Amino acid sequence: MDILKKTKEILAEILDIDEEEIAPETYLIRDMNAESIDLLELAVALNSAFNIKINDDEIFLRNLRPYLTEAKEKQADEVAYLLENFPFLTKDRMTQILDDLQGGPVLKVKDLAGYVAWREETS
Amino acid sequence: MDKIKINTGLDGFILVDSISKIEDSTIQGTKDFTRAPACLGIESLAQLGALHVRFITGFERHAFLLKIIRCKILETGVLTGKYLLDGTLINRSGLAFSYRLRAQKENEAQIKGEFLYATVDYDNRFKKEKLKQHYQKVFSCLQSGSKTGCCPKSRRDCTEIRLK
Repeated sequence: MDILKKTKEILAEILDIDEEEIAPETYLIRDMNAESIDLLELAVALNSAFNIKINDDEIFLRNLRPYLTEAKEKQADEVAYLLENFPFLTKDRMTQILDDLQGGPVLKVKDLAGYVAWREETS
Repeated sequence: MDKIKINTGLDGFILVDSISKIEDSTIQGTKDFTRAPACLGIESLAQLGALHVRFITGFERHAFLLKIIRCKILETGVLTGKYLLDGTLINRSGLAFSYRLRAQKENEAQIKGEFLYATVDYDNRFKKEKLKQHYQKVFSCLQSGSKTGCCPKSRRDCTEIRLK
């Protein structure tokens, strides 16, 4: 199954938007105005579509900022520390995220697809 | 906080009479209706699903109905008689749970649908020390088939407990 395509289908249905408007680089919250209840529904839908375990905090990067604070307090390498907690993201993507934090919520469609692929590989 | 009394025309908020069977991903219960509108059947199913969510999360989190994804009412008019309620957990994440729920009478589904629930940590509004014990007690009473046993004084008191 094409993970990205299926993820876009699910997002289009839940958020009631055209699938053509959704790209890998589209932000869930900034661009598509996804709300917390949409994310809960999305998590269940991804579980259904891919038959994978979904950890809501991981997939939606919920504790990204607290983890970043922890890394700073421990004077740890920020990217490495965050990758330990979000192992489905690449080093490049995590670097992008850190550069992008000032703009608001950083979660993109490609991050969801990355999580699904990672879960499928590790299950 | 003062008690708030709401006249719903019902004898309480609990619209499940008993829990007859419960397992990791399924729950069954009953509800005896007397000339009830179909919307109360939907509420019964919603409550049954929420009971299962609380059960599988060990009553450690506050559970609430997030969305009715789809629902079909096959019986028009009023609900009367004993209905078998059943639910199956079909999908879940760590925080959200999707159920297929059904109300059957005489082996025919009269209401069926897919209900989505979410859970949150107890907090200042949803106090753990009060709600956890309350829902455990309700659950225990429904399992023993004694709904009135949940509310020693009267069913109306149940309403007041939930509104405090």
